[in-house]
Amino acid sequence: MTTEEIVERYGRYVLALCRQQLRNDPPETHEEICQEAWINIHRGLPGFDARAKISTWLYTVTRNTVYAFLDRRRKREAAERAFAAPESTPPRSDEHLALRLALEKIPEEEQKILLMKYSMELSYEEIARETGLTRDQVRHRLIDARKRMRIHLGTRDGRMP
Amino acid sequence: MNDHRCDDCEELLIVQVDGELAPEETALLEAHLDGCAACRTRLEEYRALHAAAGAAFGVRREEVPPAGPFPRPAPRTVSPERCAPGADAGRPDPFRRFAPLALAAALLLAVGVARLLVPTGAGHPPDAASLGRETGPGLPEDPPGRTVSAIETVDGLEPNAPQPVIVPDAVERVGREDVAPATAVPAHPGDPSPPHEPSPAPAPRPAAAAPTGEVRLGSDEVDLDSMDERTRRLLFPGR
Repeated sequence: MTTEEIVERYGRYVLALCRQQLRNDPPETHEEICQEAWINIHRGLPGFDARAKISTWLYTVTRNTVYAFLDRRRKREAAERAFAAPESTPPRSDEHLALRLALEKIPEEEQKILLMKYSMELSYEEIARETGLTRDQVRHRLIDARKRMRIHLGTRDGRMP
Repeated sequence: MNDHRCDDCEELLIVQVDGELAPEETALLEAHLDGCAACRTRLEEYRALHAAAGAAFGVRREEVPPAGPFPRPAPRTVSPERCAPGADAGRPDPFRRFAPLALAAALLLAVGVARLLVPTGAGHPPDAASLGRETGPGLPEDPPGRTVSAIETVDGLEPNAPQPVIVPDAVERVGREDVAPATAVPAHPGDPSPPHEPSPAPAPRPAAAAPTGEVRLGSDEVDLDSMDERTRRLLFPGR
């Protein structure tokens, strides 16, 4: 599978991962880090072990790209803070951010499957093929993920945030 | 009413929202929802959550930033036939192909090294003193009284004739000491312009002061017999 084919198939998934992990950043940052992730994916593709699931490998490369970006930004901001006055920015509190915060609190494997389902609009059967799980395992993980998110969102009373 | 049947029903609610419910599960869920208002409310919650998650986590294709084009390594086009044993049977051996060239290069190298190691004396300039005593290699003795043409020796109009060796240094010495001063000789034959006025110093010797004979510089012929012995030996060693 070439890089272009991976972009065609998993482009939305990688962007969804970037959005999730950089949920407080603007869309421009998501796209920038997404492109950086694709460069890393292209570079690492020759060394990709075909026995592993490519969706898992894409998740790892994207996450590492985001971590590297956050590390660079943290160092740059620390250097800027040494010379600039402190500036307080209020945290974003919209519905999407609440959902991303809730997603962050559930197990990582459920996060991956949930993002795969919503970003790539995959069925249980397709997710099972991507992840190597059985269809029932996918079903149960997606059920548990929604139950946990509903708890974290506090929608017991029937209201969405 | 939130009993164990409602807990089982919650899973069916989520799967139903995903559109993955089997027909028999759909019938079972509908039967439960008819008598359970709490599960109907919960179904609305999961539908709202599903829509919100789709809006938050969903990605449209046009939103994906362009990635690439990526440089692609050139594909290796080796046919399976070439990998088969004996596929190179009809092809020339590359060693044999370049063996003559390698042999010629080795010979050239050996000759070059030999020339560097064996002292031949070539390349050392002959000293002027030896030129008057020795005859150059391969130069036969000319018969006495032979007249050598200056144009012949300079321009080499007779390539097969033996060439006398003329050393500029020796000519210079001869011109200063033994040769009579040049008489009026035009720079070019047929040049109508007046001859160049000779400088007053050094004082020109009279023509009678020349030891023997007359050497006319600029003329085409030099009479060796009439030339002074020392001059003749310096100018034309071996003659």
